[in-house]
Amino acid sequence: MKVMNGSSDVLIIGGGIHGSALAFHLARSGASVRVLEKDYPGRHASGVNAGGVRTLGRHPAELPLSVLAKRCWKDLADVLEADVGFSAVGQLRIAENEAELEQLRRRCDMVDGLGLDYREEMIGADDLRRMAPALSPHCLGALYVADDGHANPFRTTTAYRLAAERDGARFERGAEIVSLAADRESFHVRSRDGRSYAAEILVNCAGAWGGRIAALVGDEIALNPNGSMLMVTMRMPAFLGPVVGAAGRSLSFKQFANGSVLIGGGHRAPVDLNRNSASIDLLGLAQAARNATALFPRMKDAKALRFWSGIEGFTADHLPVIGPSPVRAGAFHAFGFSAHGFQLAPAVALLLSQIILGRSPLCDLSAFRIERESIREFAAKEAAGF
Amino acid sequence: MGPYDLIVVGAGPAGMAAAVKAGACGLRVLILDEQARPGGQIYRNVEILACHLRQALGEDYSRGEDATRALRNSLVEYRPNATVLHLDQGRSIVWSQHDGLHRASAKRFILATGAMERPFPIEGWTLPGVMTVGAAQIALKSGGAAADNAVLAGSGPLLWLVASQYLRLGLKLRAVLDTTPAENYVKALRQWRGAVAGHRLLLKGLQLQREIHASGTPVYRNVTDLWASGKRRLESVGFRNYAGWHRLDAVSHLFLHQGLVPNDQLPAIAGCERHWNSQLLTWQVVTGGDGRSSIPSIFVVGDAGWIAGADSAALTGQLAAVRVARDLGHLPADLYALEREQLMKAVQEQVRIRVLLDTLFRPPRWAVVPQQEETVICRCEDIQVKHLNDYLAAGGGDLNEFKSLTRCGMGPCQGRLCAPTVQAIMADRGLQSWPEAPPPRPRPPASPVSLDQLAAMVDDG
Amino acid sequence: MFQFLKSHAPLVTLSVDGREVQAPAGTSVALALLASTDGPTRYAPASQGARAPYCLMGICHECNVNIEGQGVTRSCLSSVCHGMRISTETGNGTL
Repeated sequence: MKVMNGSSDVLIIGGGIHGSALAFHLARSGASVRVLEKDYPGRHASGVNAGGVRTLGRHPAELPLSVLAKRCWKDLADVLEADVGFSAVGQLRIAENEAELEQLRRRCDMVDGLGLDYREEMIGADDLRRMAPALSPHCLGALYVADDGHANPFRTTTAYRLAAERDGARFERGAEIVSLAADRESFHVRSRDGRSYAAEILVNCAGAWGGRIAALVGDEIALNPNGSMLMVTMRMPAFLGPVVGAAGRSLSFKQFANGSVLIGGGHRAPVDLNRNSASIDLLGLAQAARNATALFPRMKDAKALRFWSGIEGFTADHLPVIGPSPVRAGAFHAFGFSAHGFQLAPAVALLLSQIILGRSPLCDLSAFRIERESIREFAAKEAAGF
Repeated sequence: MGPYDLIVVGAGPAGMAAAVKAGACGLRVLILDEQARPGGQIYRNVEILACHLRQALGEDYSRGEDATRALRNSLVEYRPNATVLHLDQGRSIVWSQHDGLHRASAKRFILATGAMERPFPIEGWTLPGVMTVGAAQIALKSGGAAADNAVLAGSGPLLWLVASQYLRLGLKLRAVLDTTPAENYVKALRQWRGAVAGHRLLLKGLQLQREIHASGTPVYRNVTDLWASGKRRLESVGFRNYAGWHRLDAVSHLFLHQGLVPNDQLPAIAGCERHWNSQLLTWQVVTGGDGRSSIPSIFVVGDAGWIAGADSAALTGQLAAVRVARDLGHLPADLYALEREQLMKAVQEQVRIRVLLDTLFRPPRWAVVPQQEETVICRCEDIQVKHLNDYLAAGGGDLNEFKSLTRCGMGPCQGRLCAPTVQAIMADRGLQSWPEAPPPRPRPPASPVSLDQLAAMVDDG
Repeated sequence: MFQFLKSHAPLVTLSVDGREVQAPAGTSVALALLASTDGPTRYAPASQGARAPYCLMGICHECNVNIEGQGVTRSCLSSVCHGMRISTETGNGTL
């Protein structure tokens, strides 16, 4: 006898920021929504990433989405009635030599040519010194976006979830799905704790596990789970306002209001999807430490307190998968954000909810369709590199 | 650096015994310790302690010299002032010394990281002047320093030991407050086997208590609802017992103790599985009889695995060492079996005593589950009981989620002093979290490391 | 305050926030602090609450001070050295 624990209009797999934000938009529009989260909402990448909220440096295919997201971030705290810790302190992308400076100039021109209501500003050494006096004097210039910044990833995910719950969405924890079946009307899902759920619409927001869920739906793509390592230091006297990246190094560097410094930059380390574990590769962190001290000499004495890594899903072209399933009507995807999906979430959720509700999305999402050739498989070299 | 057969972390009784035993079996052993001299906490500074202090600290302490001498005389490579940061995949270990970071790999690891004091979260416990009884003893051992007009409060053998050490040095104590609940004595009566096995220990304990009574130091029994107060530092201590409420003013130091819990941050960072022991009110690394953890190359011994004192620590250290020697082909099966049998018999004896002590000194509910809303749970980030109450009332039940929401456990101590209290409060509420009371997930480094040391780390293949 | 019991160990002179402090050789910086001041040795970053060393064994990090040349360090794990310069940076919340 099949016991139905819950049926809803929409079933969302994954309670990270994409799942939670989508639940919010759908619930607000009156749909009944259930989110199945295999651990607790925000447990993985959404809760532990560097919290960067940036348009700066993104792939041009993502920029329209990202610029829309930027507008959402501005009043997100009001909309969600919660403090998401968003600080629009600005973002810098530093050039340390002439070649990098030239690279940044070309990028600046390219962005200008896109016709978006958005630009990345070239700034010279003097302005850079003024904005970030703690930077090593060898830095020559930077690209700058004044209204980029950072937010608290766990708080943001939680804020979306709570707002969604207020509008009637239900979040199930410890609800890893073990089977997915589809008939003509709906999807039927069973979770590890023996419960069953059904819905007309299924959305795959399962992050690094998104490839597995996509396969259950019938959409096969290559998704490489990998870690993105971070370290946080003990508190230091305030010395930096904007978030800093570098043209020639893997680095994301920010100082929080409480004085602690967060250093990331995408250094990889192997993960285990079945055990929820991400390893720490100290040599990669040593490189991050070298990058940090090269740009900010005072960091030599900083004390690293904790190293960690989220579990991220990387597509072969490092662009996300967003949109409807081509093989099964009623199924949708939003995953594969390749370690840069946090800032995009408010826009992705908005657009996807529009599509699901049968409206025209504000932005064209065809660049992210799941059936695109560039994500069918990894080139042998790249696969080995992970 | 070529791989070692065995790397031991911690040069207390368990670590020293393990290293020496493994060395005697012909293994190539490295032992790393954070302190400047071997001995751990219990035998701290035993090699160099001044005579007059040695007498006051008692003969059990001086026995530590046998262990440190055995270490120094062995072929074991001993590195002091080495702070371990990470043990990766059960294969390689990274530590920090004054000259930078070092890395080594080994076929086996024995983690003997000892114990720490169970947090005693009372009102006012963060005030300057409130410390642990262990701290009072460390001050005696490592600096010959003592506090004037101090109050000792809590439960357990260490309380009486340090009180007697103070008195033998001619130092006056303001009061001793014994928080052992009356019903523990009744429960302990059932552990008569343990009493028989540990009669010497019990007699010693009674003798110490008699000493303290005889000195005229005020001793209060059945103490509950302990609190501390003051403006910029400790000033007053209050408590209740069967005689009513009491208050002591102009108290300069309050030393707290309610037993020890394993200092198992490194095993946890290394990935060893832990379970909540609701009888002992602590997480414990899951180990087999010989100390092997859920990671086959990692053993956890001594107090880091199970609080059982110095003698037991030396035994469990040796048990793991002979298992490692057997693993690596340095000990034939029959010799191994013989050694193991002897060691296990001795350990069993210790276990009986421990069960009695654990029953007698199990902390009462008021001492591990703070009731006052303003009591600090997380000292590093100033998270209070009320923050946890709010989280639990909203349906939360996972300590890691609570951490993400409030920063509880994100400060420099990385949850060592707050996680046991959070878990005790949650267990007290009978909360079912999924899948089952998940322990905190500490990450490397096991201690803060400067970025310039980290930056200098290179791949030496 | 803590008092050093009489010993034969030579005295070491260090400076704490510009103040001269003496302690027997082999003592930890934390003990030297506890023997030279009665009040707080730092303030908790989140609440600015008064704090001083608690465990003396490297667990609690309440004994953090700034040792010149080493940065923020647990003073209970550092032995006093002649000429050592310590700063307790009180009120800055960075210890």
